Amino acid sequence: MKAVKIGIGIVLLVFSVIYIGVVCLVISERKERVGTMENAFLEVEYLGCENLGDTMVTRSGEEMVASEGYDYYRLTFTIRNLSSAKSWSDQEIYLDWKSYEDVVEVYYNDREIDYDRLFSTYAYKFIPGKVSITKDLYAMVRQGVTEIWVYYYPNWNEEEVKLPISLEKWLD
Amino acid sequence: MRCFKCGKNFDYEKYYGICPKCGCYNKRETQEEQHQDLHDRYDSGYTHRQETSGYGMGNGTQGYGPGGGYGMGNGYSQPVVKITEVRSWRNQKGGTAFLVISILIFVAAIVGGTLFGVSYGERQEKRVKEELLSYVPPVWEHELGACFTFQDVELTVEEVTLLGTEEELGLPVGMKMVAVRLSGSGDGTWNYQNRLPELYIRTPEAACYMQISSYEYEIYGSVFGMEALDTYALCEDGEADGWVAFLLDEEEQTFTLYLEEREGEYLQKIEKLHAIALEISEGDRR
Repeated sequence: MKAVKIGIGIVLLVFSVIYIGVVCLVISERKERVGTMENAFLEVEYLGCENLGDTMVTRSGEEMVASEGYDYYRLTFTIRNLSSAKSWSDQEIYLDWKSYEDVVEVYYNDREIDYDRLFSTYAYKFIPGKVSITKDLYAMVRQGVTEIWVYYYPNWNEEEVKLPISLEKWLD
Repeated sequence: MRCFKCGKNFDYEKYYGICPKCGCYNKRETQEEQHQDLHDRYDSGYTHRQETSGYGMGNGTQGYGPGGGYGMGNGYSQPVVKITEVRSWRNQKGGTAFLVISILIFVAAIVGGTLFGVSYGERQEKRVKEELLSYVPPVWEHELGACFTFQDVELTVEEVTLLGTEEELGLPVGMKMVAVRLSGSGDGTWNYQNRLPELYIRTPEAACYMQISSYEYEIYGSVFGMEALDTYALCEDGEADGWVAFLLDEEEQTFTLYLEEREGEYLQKIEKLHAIALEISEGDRR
């Protein structure tokens, strides 16, 4: 009887040691995984906006006219890549609004790339590690809207970040 | 049992010890017998041993008669505990204590280990992440034609030239192709410190474009007479000289060439940036 009790006690102690070892190993691996930082980490800062009125000209020279009751706004952001990994997804910021009638269209106004052209993949812009860029977003917003929101993900493992954008100064 | 007073034999259980003949109460067990009975019930292997000297003599029968009095010869014997039984009892207790302590340690390890792992692990992860994100690498600027140390090699950006326009080469709309010549020297050994990183250029409009891979550029480079500079060129040879190509916005004449110097087991962290400002003039054409 005593031998059984001691045997069970030893087994439990061994399991305890193994469990503590596994916990330490998991902590170490998590630190290492974070340390490799395989994904970029973006931080977006809103710099300001400008009301362009009811027309805007795209990069390709095309003139666009807003729907009745809507204006074009140019929203300027700084996008910082805080990690050492490069980011190809600088366009992963999008606008949200209180209703679908408030913001109808959003443009990044970037050059359109024809994949049939030579070295077309190298015409894509990207954000290198530890580098900041400035980016413009063009949105057709309903007249009278005072506030819209910009959402973005620092990377796919992070929570969504929300930036408020006030349009009040453009309202009469 | 037999009545101690009148000697009648009767069933003790049936008459609860009271003699049906004379009415005398006969107590069935002596103290010794009661003691043994308890041991038999709750403890095994224990036997009372009667004292042969001193007190406790007699047949052990005690009775209380109706006329009062008190029977002589109560037969009380002091129990004597064997030393071996004491040791057995202590051993049993020691094994149980060890088991209890082991269970407590096991539970503490599970609960404490889990809580520790979660809280400490998250704190450490957060700390490492904040360190990596908050670090701002220094930017070392170099001039065209100036030699500088990059990791374990010496590099020089020798010249920059325009290779062709969108119409000439079939490039994406609004782009032109430029090339930069680099020369380098090292110890020619195969290690990460002799390996060149992927270069990129940055325009004044803050647009960044990746270097065209040496594999894809190689064919066109040989046509131009401008051999590609491979990433591992300085790992195989102590001296290397070649070209790296980029796409650039058609309207841009100036840009900055960047090289990332990295550290870490997996070269995961940018330690510093090397920047060389370049300009294409009308005469720079191959």
